[in-house]
Amino acid sequence: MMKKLKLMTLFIIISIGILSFGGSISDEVLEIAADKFEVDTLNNQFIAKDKIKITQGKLIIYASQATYTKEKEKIRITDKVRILYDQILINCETAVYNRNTYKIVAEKDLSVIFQDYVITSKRLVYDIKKGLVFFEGDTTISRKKNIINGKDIILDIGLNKIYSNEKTKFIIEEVEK
Amino acid sequence: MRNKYLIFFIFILILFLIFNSIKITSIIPTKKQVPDFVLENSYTEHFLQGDFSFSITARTIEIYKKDFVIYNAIVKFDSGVIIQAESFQVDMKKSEFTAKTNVNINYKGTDYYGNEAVYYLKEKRFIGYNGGKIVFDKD
Repeated sequence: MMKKLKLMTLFIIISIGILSFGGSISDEVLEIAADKFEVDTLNNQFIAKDKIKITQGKLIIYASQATYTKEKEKIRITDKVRILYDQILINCETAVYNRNTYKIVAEKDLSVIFQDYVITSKRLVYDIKKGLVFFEGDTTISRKKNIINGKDIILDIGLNKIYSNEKTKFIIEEVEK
Repeated sequence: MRNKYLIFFIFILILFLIFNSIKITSIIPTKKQVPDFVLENSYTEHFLQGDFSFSITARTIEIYKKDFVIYNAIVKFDSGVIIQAESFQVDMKKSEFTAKTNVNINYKGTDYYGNEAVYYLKEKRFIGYNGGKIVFDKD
């Protein structure tokens, strides 16, 4: 009887654990708040204008205009875009958030603030699930007075590392915690 | 000299009268339009507008010649769009539904919450004004 009770308790604990682990960004509701909306129900297209705040779990995006296509599950965000997730802040002029792949592509006047690092690049791909930011093309990393120039840089948020995407994958800097 | 004062006095008097008449007319309320029909108590009515159809469930429906006003209503369109609001102004000529106060528009699991929205029946689209939010559930 006691064994059965113990097994039941264990089963409940494991179930709760699995359920809470499964509650990742993929299950979270996407919300778009704005001053004005234009919704085309025929094409399933949602246009939000002025004072936009997009939220999905810990992901917060501020902008002036956003267009969401439900079929593609993609949000195209333009004009003074600010993307916040965990410890990272991305400033840019245009961005696309894919709700299916949980990837953000940002470009134009791009700058990223991560802890006390400021990273500027032409274009980035942020893989939210993996916690990786890929900076494409010429990239500048600055921290206080130190400036490092590189190409195709990767920021690993989970490992707190910034490294180049070349074959050697040498670590440019190990980010202090 | 006296004439000058008199002319000035008349001028001021005319100005005063004009100013007052504007004020008075603006204060007078416009005559309230009387509805042709009033349907009260939770009512569901089905309407046909050309190729489109919709149903209205409302506490009160005031029917005028070209439009109607609905209070505490749910309007269901054949397109699948459901609009809930505290008041509606329906323009039948333009096929426009203006929803005001606590507006909720539901379409295929997507919800719009706001203060004001206009639904265009023929174009099957709507515009939300004065702030609001859209909630997308994961399909």
